Amino acid sequence: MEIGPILRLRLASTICFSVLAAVAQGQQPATTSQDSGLTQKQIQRRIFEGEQQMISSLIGTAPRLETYLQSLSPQTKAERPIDDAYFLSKVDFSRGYEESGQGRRGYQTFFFGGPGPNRTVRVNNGRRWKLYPDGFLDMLFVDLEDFDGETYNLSYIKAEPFGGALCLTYFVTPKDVSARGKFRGRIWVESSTFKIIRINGTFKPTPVGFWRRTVGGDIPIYFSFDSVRQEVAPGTWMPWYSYLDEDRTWKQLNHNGETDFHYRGHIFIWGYRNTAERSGKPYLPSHLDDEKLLANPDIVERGLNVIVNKIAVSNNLNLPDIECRVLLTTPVEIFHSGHTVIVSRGLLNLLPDDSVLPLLLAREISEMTLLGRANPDVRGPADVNAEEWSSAVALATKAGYSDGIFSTCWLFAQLAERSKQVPNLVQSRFGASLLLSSAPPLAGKILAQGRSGTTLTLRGKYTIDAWDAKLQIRPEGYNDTQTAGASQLQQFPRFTSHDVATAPVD
Amino acid sequence: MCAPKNAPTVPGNRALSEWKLVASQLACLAVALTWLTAPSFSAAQAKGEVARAILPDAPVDARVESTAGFSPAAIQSAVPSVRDFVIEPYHKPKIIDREFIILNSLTFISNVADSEISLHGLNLGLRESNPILGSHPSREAYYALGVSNCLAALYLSYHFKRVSPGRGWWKAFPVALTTAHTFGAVYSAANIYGR
Repeated sequence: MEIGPILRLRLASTICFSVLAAVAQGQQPATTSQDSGLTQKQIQRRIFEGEQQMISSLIGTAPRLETYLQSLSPQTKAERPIDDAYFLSKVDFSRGYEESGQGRRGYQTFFFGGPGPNRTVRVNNGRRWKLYPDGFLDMLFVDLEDFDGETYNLSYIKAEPFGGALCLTYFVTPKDVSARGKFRGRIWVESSTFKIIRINGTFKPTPVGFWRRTVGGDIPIYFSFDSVRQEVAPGTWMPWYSYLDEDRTWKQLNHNGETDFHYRGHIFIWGYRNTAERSGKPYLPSHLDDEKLLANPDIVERGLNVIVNKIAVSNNLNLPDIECRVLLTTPVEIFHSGHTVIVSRGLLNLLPDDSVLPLLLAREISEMTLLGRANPDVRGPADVNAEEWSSAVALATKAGYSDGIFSTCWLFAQLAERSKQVPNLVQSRFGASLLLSSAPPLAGKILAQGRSGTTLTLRGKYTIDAWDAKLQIRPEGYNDTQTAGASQLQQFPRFTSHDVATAPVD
Repeated sequence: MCAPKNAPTVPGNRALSEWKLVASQLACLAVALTWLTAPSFSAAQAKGEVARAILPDAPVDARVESTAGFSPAAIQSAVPSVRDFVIEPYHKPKIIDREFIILNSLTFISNVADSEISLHGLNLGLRESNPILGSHPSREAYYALGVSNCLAALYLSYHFKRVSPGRGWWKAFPVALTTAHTFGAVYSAANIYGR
């Protein structure tokens, strides 16, 4: 579980916390909900049971886990990535600790980010710090192995709306304050089913010994994280997305960290539904589909198909059945296989505006149509690329998509400029590199012209349906704190200290 | 640094020493109290302390417990929808900047000043008090030791500035050497011109 930093608990805070926890445990009121008629103890038991049921239901599924992490310039509000790291894996929850035999649980089989230099990220002093991908899986759960009443205390805090649902919030602490790697933080529990829908906290670190504290060495670190779940069926909430943003000074690493650091990243998990149950016809990149890396076609793909067909019809191209699919991964890429154009979710999220996509799709179509006519051995790849781009611009212009040329060049120029900062974002994983093979000839010159007020941003607009591996679109102006009204909150019976008098004995 | 021959030793002021002892003990006590009462370095605490007002309807014990380590700011600011990652350009910080050049230049200058004033003192009949150099070192010996010290300080300051850009430890080496050489030069000059 060690992935991120953590910290020394000082003597005084440990003692104070232990005393407070003991007092809290002793004074926990047996409050009740007037609607559900359950006491706090019964509710807590249902929370533990619900989580255990959810985890046991994961056995037999084989979801995909993607982690994208950036190391940023620390102690500044500017968001300046220094380096990044990328992990993509298949998770098998039935694999236990004993089976792996590697000292870790070994739930994951990696597509990208296997052992070696891939598991490091550069910090602001040029050195590469280790990452432990197992820890990112842990950041989707409170405790994957020991979340029960014997291990944890739950202390009710209050009711509050979250994500359109009314939730009860609880403070979670391990009963054994000296236990390492145990969760400490808050959970949001859906008020009718008592299922966890959000987790915010961190894990208790392994203490750093005298030698490492004095002389130096690897310091185990945990990150604080905020994990959100998705309701895949009524009353069934599955892990979906976690976000971490950790900006710490060297002093916060036992006063012995060699430098400050700032990590941020996201973790997505999707594809709980078994492949055999998935609908849809087989596609040419069938191995990507089998691996649950392609999104099940839905509204986004239909929109892309409309653009592609418009380009084909406007230019009288004899290319039947051109189809677009979306790769669910974060690295930026677009390529085609046969008559299927594949666009990554990362590319969709990175586009500066809507005018770029038709031009990129037109370029793929031009590559399809020019294939066989252009001979790179004779003319050179640069000439072929230039011809494809001029053809793409002509195709797009004829279809009415002529206004994306500057934005497209700007995007390529930005990617080229940031390629050393975010190599794992820019590097294609399945197709050819977008930068190396297909940069428009003008991209280099565009950078010098600048584009005021625009910064390259990997947006969170396109996300993933965790169950069905479909692409989802975030509504504009979405704000979860506004989704549940105050009146709804008032109707819910709150757990207050005066409930103690009327609470039934559990 | 050179000193007069057979320079007498001056005993320390006893009252001053006792005052220093008391002061140092008080300082130690203050440091110990600060250490004991300081909050733990949790990431959440670093972002701000917990306000009880955030938990108005919670049981008293939960409120107290929840103040032990987590901030409402972190909770409230946590957006459940997927976050945007802005990617701004990053320029590697310069190691050899103006401050670095000035501090290390001062080290070399103070070294030269100390050596030359000491050599002048030797010519006037004083002796060198640095036991490493002996009582009457040559110019080559002065510069061999001084320049090697300066180069060592230069390397260490460069190394620490590169590896730990968040800290100011790199300044310790040129500052310490500059201070030592300046003190030596002033001490030598005082002995030469105060005779």
